[in-house]
Amino acid sequence: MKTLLSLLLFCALLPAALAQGGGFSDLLRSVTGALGSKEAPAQTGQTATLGVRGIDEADAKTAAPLAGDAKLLESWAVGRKEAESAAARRGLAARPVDYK
Amino acid sequence: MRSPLLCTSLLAVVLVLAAPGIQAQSRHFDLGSAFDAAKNLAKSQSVGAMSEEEELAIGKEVVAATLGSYPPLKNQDLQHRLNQIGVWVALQSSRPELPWRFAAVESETINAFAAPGGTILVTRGMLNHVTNEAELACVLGHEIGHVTRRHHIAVLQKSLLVAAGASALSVASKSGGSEEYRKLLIGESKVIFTRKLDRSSEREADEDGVLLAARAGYDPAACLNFMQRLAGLKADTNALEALYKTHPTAKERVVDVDEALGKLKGAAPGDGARPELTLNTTGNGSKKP
Repeated sequence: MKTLLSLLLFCALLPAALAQGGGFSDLLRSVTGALGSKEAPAQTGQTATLGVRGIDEADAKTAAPLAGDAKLLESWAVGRKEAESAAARRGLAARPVDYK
Repeated sequence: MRSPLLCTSLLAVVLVLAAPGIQAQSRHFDLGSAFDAAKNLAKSQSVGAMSEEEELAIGKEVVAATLGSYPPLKNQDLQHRLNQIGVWVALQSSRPELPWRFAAVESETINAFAAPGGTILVTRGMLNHVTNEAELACVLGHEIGHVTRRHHIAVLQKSLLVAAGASALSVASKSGGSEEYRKLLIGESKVIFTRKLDRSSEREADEDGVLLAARAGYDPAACLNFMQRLAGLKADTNALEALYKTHPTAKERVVDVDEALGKLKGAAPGDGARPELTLNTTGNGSKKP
């Protein structure tokens, strides 16, 4: 039922979304919000998670970089090993320091 | 012409059939994990009672709200470098396992922010003010200290309690007042960095900045140099206005940092590295959706 509803809402909202210049990702966000998906809790518009399951999921993931600046932060994340390697290249080494 | 008409007709039929389901699901729409976390936070007597999962959920709200005012610089090299340094310093903290994220944001003011859960935002003005990597490590260490000690969670808890009391919300009921809490949380997330932390919290964070920089192999005296240079700037300039609304004056903090240096065991001022810092802080951070 949810998949069918997604498809129909897509049809209904497409003309309006294109007319407003909102683009495909905004349209998907509209569908997500209308369905009240658990995967897309109501947050600020900039970071609303695209979480429509089914036919739109692949496209939604592709559109994710447009979904908000918070996604960018994830793409810049660095893990422990990389941080340690980068520090070692700059001559830094961890040492046991505390307060008296 | 035929396709839109068919779509519209089918839509009408399905909406009628699915209306009860949509109504039922709309309750989940308003009950995100962050809102439950906020409710639990308001109910609890101590920030220590909050789970890390709840802390992360609230942190996401705070970050989303803050990025609306301070968009990240669209400069991947800069952001990557900042994360390498930030994670290295965070690994020396009491909570190295947190999902630490660092971002340079658009603002000429000299400032930095720590969101619950481990996201640190540093303004372009701050990055242009530090003169070497050791000074940046001190700044990041200060913010990391706010996170590990959950200082902003404590502020949020107070704000939610006051707001809850004012609007007579039922904090004892898990299902009651969810929409109100949602509004409260979003509202408080947007202003959390305008709330001034108490003096002892700032002193603790400054001590953490010195300690973590030293543990990471940097010269801890860089923290004092940075603060002294900050104290030498005119306090009423636009670049420092926001900082001084939420922090003690740099002159007061010079005293705190100097005392912290004197208490160090395992590293002395002057002992450690001051790597050159070459950050290109250009980048368009003004993109809005």
